[in-house]
Amino acid sequence: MSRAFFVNGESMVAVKSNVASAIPVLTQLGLTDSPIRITPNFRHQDIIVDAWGPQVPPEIQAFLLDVNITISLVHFDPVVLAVCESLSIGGGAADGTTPRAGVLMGGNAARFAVGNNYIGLNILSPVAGVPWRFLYTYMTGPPLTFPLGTERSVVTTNWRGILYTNDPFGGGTAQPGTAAGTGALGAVIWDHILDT
Amino acid sequence: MANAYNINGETMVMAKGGAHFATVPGLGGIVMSQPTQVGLASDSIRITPTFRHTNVPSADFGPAVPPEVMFNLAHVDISMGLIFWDNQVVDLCMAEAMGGLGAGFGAGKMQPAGQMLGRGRPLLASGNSFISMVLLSPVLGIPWRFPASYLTAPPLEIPLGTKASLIQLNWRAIPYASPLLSGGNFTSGNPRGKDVLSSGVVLWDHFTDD
Repeated sequence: MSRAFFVNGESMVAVKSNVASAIPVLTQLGLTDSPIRITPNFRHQDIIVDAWGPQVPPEIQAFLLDVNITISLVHFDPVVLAVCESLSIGGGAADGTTPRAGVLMGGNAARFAVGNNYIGLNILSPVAGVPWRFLYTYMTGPPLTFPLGTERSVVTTNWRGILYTNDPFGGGTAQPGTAAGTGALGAVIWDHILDT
Repeated sequence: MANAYNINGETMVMAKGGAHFATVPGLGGIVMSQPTQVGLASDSIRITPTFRHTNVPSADFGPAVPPEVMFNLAHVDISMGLIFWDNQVVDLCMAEAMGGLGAGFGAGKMQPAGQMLGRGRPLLASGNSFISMVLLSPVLGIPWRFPASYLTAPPLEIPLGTKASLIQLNWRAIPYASPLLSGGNFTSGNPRGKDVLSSGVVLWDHFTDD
């Protein structure tokens, strides 16, 4: 692929969650008033060796990553947004209702299985043709701001994508690309295939 | 082997118990006479050998510094904080450490005071409550196996609440031996019969159970 200006296009945000939720199929959430910002957080840890002094490492270990996605919604479905909020707090029964404290977001379940409250966050790419799919996300709060007034509301949302698995040893059904005994090897945090 | 960073990898804790696990009722389907996953830790697992040495003093060297030291065996402590674990397997390990899982005895119900864990039987035989505990090594390829280990308490801490329980476990491994296992009865022709011999007893090795 050669150099070019990268224009993603009209970046519709679409979401999908478990089969018992109100968004069991890919559902439009909305459009933004500004670019959607994807911020991977690579995790690295220095290995300090006295022979190289106390501050500069001769080697570094990579310890996976998580990712933040910042979305400012201006033309959106408030019902779908409320569903995402409920799922993000662990699957409340209704908008503004909480589950019990300490509920596991993934519920030891595979993707989109009952009990798995993670949301598949999809960002369409009608011009560049490189959509983004974050397999396991939830809305963080803060920052989550819902302004109310006479102006159109621009809702500031932040999503966190993680490498959820129901077996950290590898081979869990939530991460079918992994194998028992290999941990996170082959786990997927994002790809460029849309949910259906 | 050259110098390198030693990265053990995803260190799964495995346990294998005596043959009695194949027949004792009420175990929820867990057959711990085969290698069984105990769980994964939230942080590094720590292996702490305790070597026992005794000074051999000599007046010529004064009272403080010996010219020779005697080795008097060792034991090992293995500490771990498990975050992703099988509570039934941990329960069975606790029961074994409390004297054994006989018929009608589960974790929390006492065996008689003074019950021996090994009961003079070979390791992994029916009735021997020592557990062969293995730490897998998927990256480095150097697993650790402690053939005669048991849970000590303290420290054994089971937090209960709304957060995921991080259970603190400490295992102690000893060089188990029993005079009942030494071949033959004592006779004038077999002066070592029923003796307890430490030489050659395995405290740890780098194999896995099968």
